[in-house]
Amino acid sequence: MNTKKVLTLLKANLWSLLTLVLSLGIGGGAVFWASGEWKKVESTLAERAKVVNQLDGFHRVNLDVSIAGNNVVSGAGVPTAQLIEEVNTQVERSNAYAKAFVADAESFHLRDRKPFNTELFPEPPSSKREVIPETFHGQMASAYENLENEVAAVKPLGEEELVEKLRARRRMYLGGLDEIPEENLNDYRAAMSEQRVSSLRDRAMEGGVYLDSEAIDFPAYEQAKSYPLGELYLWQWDYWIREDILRGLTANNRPEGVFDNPVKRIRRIAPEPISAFQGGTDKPGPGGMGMGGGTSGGGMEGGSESLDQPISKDLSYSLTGRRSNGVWDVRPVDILMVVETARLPEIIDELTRENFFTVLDVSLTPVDSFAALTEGCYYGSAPVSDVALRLETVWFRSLHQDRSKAGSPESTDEFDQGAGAQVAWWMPADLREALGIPVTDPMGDQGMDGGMMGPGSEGWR
Amino acid sequence: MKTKGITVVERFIEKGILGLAALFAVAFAAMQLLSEAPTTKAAGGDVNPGTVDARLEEQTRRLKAAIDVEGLPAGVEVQEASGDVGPSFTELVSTPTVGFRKVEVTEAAVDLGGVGGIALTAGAYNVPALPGPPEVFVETHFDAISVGELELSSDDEAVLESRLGLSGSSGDIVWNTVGFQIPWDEMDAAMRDAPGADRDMPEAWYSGQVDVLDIVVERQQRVDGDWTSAVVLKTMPARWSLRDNLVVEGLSRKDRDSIVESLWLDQGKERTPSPILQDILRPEFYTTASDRWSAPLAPSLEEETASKGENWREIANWKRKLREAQKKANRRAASIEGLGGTPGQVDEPERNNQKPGQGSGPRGLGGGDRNSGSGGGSGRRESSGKRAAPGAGLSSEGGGFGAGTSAPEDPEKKKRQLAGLQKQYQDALKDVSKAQSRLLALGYDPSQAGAVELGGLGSDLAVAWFHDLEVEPGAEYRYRVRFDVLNPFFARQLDLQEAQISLAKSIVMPTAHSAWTPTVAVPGFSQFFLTGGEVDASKMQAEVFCFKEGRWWSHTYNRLQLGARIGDVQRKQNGAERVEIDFGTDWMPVDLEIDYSMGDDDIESGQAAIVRLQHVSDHARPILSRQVWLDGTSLSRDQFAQWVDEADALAEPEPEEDDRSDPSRPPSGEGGGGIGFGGSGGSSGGGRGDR
Repeated sequence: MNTKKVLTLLKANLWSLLTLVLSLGIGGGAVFWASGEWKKVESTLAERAKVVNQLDGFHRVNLDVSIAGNNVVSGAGVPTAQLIEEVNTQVERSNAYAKAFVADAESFHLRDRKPFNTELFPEPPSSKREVIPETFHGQMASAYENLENEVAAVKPLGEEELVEKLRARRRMYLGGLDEIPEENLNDYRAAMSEQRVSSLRDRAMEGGVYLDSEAIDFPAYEQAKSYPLGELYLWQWDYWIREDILRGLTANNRPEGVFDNPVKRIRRIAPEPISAFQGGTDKPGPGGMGMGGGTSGGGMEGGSESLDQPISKDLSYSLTGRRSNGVWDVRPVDILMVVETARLPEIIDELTRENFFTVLDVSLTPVDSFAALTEGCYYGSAPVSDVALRLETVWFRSLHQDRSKAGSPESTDEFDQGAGAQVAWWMPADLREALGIPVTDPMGDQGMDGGMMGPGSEGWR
Repeated sequence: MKTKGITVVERFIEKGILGLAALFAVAFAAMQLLSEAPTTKAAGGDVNPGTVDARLEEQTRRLKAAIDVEGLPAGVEVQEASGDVGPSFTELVSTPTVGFRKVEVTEAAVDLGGVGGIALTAGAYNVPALPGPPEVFVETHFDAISVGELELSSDDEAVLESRLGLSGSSGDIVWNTVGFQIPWDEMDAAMRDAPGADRDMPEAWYSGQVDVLDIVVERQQRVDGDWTSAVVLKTMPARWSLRDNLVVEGLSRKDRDSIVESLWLDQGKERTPSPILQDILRPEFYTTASDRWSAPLAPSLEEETASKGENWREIANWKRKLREAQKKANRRAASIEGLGGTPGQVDEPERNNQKPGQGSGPRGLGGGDRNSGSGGGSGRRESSGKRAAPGAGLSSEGGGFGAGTSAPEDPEKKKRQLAGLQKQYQDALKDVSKAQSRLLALGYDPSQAGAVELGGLGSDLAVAWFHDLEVEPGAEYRYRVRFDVLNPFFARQLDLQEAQISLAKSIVMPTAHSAWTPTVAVPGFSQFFLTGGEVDASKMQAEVFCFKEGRWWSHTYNRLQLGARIGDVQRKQNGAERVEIDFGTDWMPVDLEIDYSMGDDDIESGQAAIVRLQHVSDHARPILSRQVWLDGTSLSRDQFAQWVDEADALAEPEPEEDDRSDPSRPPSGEGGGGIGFGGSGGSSGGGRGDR
């Protein structure tokens, strides 16, 4: 069939052709449209069926609610208004508990502490810059003296004092004679021995614990030395550490009678130095005995974490795994003391109750009480031991902040809220830098300082 | 339609197409109408488009109904919100961290008792019973005082004026000095050897020395024949005393050590008492007008000798004279040393002026033998002129004991004073020697008559004293003394068992009390003695003594009549001036009787009279009865007479260029006096009659 004929045919049947085309087109379109509509119906059906299922599912919703590990609601069903109200009540109660807990913990730890000289920190006025450090040193010395009185500290009986007492007794014994008669020598020896032991015991009765000067280890003020502010602040911080440790150790000590007390003598309380200020090297972590142990890296790496991040634990560092972070600083302390051996658990209990303290390591060495007499110490009859103890101490960053100037989270001050509540530090900038706390205010610390926004700067709230 | 020339196809194509179209339409309609509606699962059943809305609505209503249920949903349990959410922070902190309470120790307990095996652990100890002073003796003193010149604080002045009974800031006063001895050796022995079956106290607890912290003197007054309740005498104003310190609550060992250190200047072999201990044990009396007070002398133990009998009065008289001579010698010695001289040494070299009372330093304790060239040859140390009181050495203010001499600025005058004092000192030594000789002649050992030497404060049986400022003239008292010594158990509660814990509280341990002294009658400011009475009672003689303006005066009345009051106003010479002294007493003689049992001589001389006297105003008072021979020979009368003589001598104006000028003339007033009354062995009596 040739094309011409086809075309002619088509022209001759144009209406038929059109009808055909239309019929095909309409038919096909109708099928297509119907298919589409079918899908829509199916889709709508599915959606509504889903909603139906959801609504039906609400009747089987698991209503178990647990607050702080306690199961307060159990069962399944549709929560009613009363259920919601009771759950809210429980939540509020739990929140209140948590707030109170946090407040107690803060109060327990912070104790309204602030530096003895608030003029000095974080930066003294320029007119007093030369004078205040020495004044502060005097305040610290006075504070240590008061602390010694508070814990009923007494010095071991010195050799000179003992000799003087023995001489006086000898004079009484001689009664004007130049020599002890031969027949009285034994009595004389007994008298001298009694005097010696009695003098030592009398000294032991004057206080509750022997305190060596190394336990305080507060250096004398050097006029020619220029003290960085951080070092001065460390005096204050170390004082707080020693204060709490001394109070904890002597909590069960009576003010008189070393020989009846559990802690007899405190030889040394040595907070681990902060390398940037006290010339210390990166010491091993607190895991081992104060003289070592644990992995490398000091406990004073700070500022790498904040409340925005979970607090991590590094058990290779110490058995607690705690390290300094944006919330707290870990400062290990080495303690050397003489205690009544049987009462060591009681001592550790009291010590760890005093603040956020954890004993990391303990070692004991028996002490010869007779040999201790030659050192001027009368320990009594109970067996005693030299105890070397490694203590982990945790100090919130907020301890070093002037909380009277901190913005309140509930503050309606737009500036406060917008700025994230600025932090006023007691701690000088140089020490903060050493601890890794960001110091962002280029103007330095004037009470409203850097570290406001960066991680690790918010401290504990 | 044209059909020619078209094919069959062409002819039927239209119908075919329409037919197809119709067929398609029918097929399509059939497909739509006959196909099943879509279904799905929902809420446990099938739903289709026709039923889904109804199911949806049904579920909605069902859910709303469930939400609107009052109360809790069915099948839901809610834990009661009671109790604590969890442990508080404080509870968690207090939870022990160590799982065990004690460490098992295999070592044995250590005994640190020392070589002697002395157990220094808590136990029961024997408590020492410390003796008090072996004897107490009292002396009454009269003098005048100006409180305003003593340079005391206004509070002390007011207190002193009140206690001395002065109406103003100056006036005549009387006081008692209560003397006693400190038995150091006996107390030391009692410390070492306490009674009981418990442990002996370690000697180290009291370091082998007893420290006296306070003297507690109790006094009773006799009122209407009965003794009143004992009162503890107060310490002197403006004098060191530890009494208030000892009762403070909560004294510590350091306080104790401070107190003990304050008592002695040297803790070595030779203990030197500090000014504080001096004031406690040997308080200097205030500067008085005559400044004649001197330390009391303890009476020595007297043996019962056979010389008692007819001569006993004379013996007693000479004993008294011996003691007075010794005291006078001691006073003069103190005055000499106050001027920088040496008792018994004439031709004094030039020395620097010293304050009154400042003498030879530690020798003021009674140590140091100044027995050079003096008349004391009896062998008893007190007769060597040793100074009585330590005050001249250590008390640098206000004069020493009995050394109230103002150091003159003029060296020549001072030299004259020293010379005069040396002479008086020598005269006193002569009186001592004379009295001793007389006693020997009477068959009495003079060594028993003298007084115990004052000695150093640290010596055993050292004499100490206490001043009673609140005595009333004419009253009767008695005293007893105890010491409060340092308690060796003080602050040793850890060394004591429960039953004895109370021993550790007080810093003092009291000794035993001494016995009560015999009654001490304080003379009034006025005394009288009947010296004669005629047989026909026409007249009587009496001598009246009166203490006025710091000195004793006397006047003799030779023509007393019955019914006439004894005494009146007389003009007396006081140095260069004449003064009026009221010698009036409150007594008048109402009857006279003669004791005819006495000898004729006595009767003739008027010594046998017995005079009865009645109080002038208080007729309820009992009638006094006096025997003239007793009054006339009374030791007290002799004493008063002596004081009058001394006062007269002091009141004589100092002649120019006179080497015998009295160096000890006080700035105002003269001659007080001390009467040795009461005590054990002291002379009693006297004080007869009062205003």
